[in-house]
Amino acid sequence: MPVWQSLFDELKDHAFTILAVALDQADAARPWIETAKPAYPCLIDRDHHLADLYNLVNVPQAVWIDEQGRIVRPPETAGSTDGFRAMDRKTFAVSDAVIAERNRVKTLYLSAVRDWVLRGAASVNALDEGHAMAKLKVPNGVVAEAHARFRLGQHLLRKGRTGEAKAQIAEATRLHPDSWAMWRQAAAKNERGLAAGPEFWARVDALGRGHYYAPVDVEAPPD
Amino acid sequence: MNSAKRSGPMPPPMALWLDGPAIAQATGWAWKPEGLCHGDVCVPLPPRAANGGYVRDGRLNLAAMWRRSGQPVVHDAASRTWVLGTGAEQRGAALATLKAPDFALPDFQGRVHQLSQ
Repeated sequence: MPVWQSLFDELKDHAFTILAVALDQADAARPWIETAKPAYPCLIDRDHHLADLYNLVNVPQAVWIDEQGRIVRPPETAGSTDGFRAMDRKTFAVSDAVIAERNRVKTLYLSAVRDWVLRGAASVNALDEGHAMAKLKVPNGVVAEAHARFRLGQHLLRKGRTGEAKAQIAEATRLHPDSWAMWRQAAAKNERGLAAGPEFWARVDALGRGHYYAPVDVEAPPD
Repeated sequence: MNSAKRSGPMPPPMALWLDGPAIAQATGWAWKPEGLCHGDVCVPLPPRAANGGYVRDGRLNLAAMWRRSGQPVVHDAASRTWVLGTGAEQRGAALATLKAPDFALPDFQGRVHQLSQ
């Protein structure tokens, strides 16, 4: 996305990089990557290995990792909001207020990243060990099985065993309903390659008051 | 991913019988007298392993041992392709160190990038 490219261009000389990972097949991610032409690495994780390692459930999520390889901020929503849920599903229009809030949150998150890159551990959003541990969500055994079934399903898809593959991925999704990333892989796609059809909206609506994206939880850095 | 493809007679469901070299090749774990081992970690065989369906004819029921270690085991309908997953305890313990788990993934041009590099 352009906002991440801009941030990278601004901060790359401060020992900062972005590692973008597509929880998707290469062919599905390619058009987006080729359009964006990012200067930072964009990787393909077709088996959702990263989701398994870091307990990721949706995109975009971000993990802040410092130069020592320490997790400074565990996986969290990377500046997105649930504003899309207010979209007119026929016209795809969203209100100015929703757009403004979406932009405000995105700007806030990017400013938090910037502040951390420039201030390091002194940044207000750089979590110490205790706070990082408090925000960390670890998987349970059911999620671990879901990841194993998902990987089997992806393997079977590559072998052309579509029916059995879909059954494994469906079971993975049943075991790990919080993972939109898993669900999305087997969901019907629109002409843009997005799983944004009636099935998606039904699943979103079923959240009720629950969040699709966990709210962004960063403080505005001091000026 | 640890995976194993087997050939030969179909085993009973949920049993994956492999000899030591095959186990090592598939998983990187070693079958030793003290159990199934990886580095300093060994998962001991249960008492009376031969009677308990864990050891037979010079082969170990890897699926049973993997589950015994608390890790998920799944397989396809024909029991010919298996995924030996990583358990939640192992994943959680790794994350709880706050050391970012390393990984290597390709870009869409096939170049592999590793986090630690």
